[in-house]
Amino acid sequence: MFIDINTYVGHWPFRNLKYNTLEGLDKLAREYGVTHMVVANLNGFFYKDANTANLELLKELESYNGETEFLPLAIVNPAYPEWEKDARDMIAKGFAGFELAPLYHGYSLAPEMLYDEYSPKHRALEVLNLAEELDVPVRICAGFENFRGRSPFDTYENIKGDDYFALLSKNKNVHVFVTSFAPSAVSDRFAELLKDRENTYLDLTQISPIESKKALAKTLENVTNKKLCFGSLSPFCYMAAELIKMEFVPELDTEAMKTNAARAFKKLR
Amino acid sequence: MDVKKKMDLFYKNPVVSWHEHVNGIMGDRGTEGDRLDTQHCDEQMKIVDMFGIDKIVVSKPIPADKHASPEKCMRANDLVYEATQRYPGRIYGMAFVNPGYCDAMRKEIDRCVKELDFVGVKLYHQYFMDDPAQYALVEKCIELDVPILMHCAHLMDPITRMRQPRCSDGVHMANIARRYPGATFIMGHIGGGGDWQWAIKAIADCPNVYADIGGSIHDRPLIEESVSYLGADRLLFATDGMWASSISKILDADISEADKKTILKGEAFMRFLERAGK
Repeated sequence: MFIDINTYVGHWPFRNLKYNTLEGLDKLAREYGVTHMVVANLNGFFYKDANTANLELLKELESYNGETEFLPLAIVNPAYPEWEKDARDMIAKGFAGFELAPLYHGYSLAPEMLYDEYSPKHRALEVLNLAEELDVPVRICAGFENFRGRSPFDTYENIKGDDYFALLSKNKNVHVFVTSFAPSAVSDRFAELLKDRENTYLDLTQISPIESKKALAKTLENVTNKKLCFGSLSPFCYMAAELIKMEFVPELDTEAMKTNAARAFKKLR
Repeated sequence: MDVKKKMDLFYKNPVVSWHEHVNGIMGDRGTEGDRLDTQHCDEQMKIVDMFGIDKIVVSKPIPADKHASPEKCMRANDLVYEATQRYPGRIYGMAFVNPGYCDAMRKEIDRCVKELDFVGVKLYHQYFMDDPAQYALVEKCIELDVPILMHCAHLMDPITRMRQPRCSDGVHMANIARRYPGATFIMGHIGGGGDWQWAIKAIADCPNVYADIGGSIHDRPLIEESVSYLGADRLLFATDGMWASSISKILDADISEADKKTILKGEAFMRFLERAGK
């Protein structure tokens, strides 16, 4: 088993993507022996109603007949009406978990005071609690393109350590994939939480373990090899970069990185 | 396929990285950059060997000091020279200068190329590449027939733009290249951050501007689009210290094997290395 926890289909409004279909990803996976890909539809980051992107992915999955097994995530926008009904419906239809996109859906991972409420509402936490009830994982990607080259219509922000802390400290039971997170964005309390929280998984897309032994040591101190996973951020990036890190850095446990994510999925446990 | 097997492309073919650096450490003068950081240099060469890279071209720019005095530049270049002597035939040097000190800049380029056998000139963001302050430098490089490698990025985010207000991009490179068609330019690290699509489009029609592929950004299809606009013979392999991402660009790009070998070898630039070896 070889799981890639960080892949997408669909369109990115700011530049063209190649291999951005299930068939395209399957080709990339087979090139390097990846057997499973955790996938969501990028369109759901930009559609007002994210669930229509989930339905698109569902349709694509129905006609897909490649070798790679996909673990589809439904993009859930807790700031949109009927999100819970849609989320439950997608799991019933075979989706393997949820993805949150706070930077693109306009809500915070922390509790927020809304204009029509009298007390703070923690919308992201409601999704995590639902995920716990349904025993499915949640993925939250810290950022996609490098901020120095982003379109002026994109955000220059990434999700930071404290943002993750505000959410993940409130529910420690759900399996959560924190993808494309840069160690420079970690805060002390998020580092402590990572050490403590058993089912938080990170990839290395924003870490340079060959160049920076310090960043690698810090990451391993926080999450250990038990919680590091292979993630390629395909099709945004060339996949070989992550394989080179995994194969040429002796401190990393290659076999564990390929399979750690299985713990998060009912069908793979 | 195992990524290690794919690395045969590097192990079995000539590979030159045209954009690397050496570090300085505190020495007798009590300032950073007094002595070559030999530990970093040796560790870097271990990585270079691990990935099958034959030769690297290094420099020691002074990025944080917009005034970078001639004395500081000389010291930086002496460190580079020390590295070239530590690994002769494997490490080649590029001279870092500040074009604002015109006479000193000319003398330092002469010293580095004629006496220290350096193969080019490396610039940082003290001035835009098309600033008139660069004209004397470009003319000196034409006279000595050495390439000019400029730190480049079309920066989009306000914070990095504020930190590097005179960071050149493809348009600056194209402007100077059109003014000096006899000069040879390298647009530094198209994967170094910034809008790389902007960068390669801007220099597409300037045959005397080459680009190195170094940097941490390994967006797919950076290499395919670069080859499409510039051709493989105008691309140079480099990592700028970001080994995994830079190597992955070559391994995974949907371009021909012949084009990959052309980029790795840097055929068009071999003469600069060969001349330095004599």
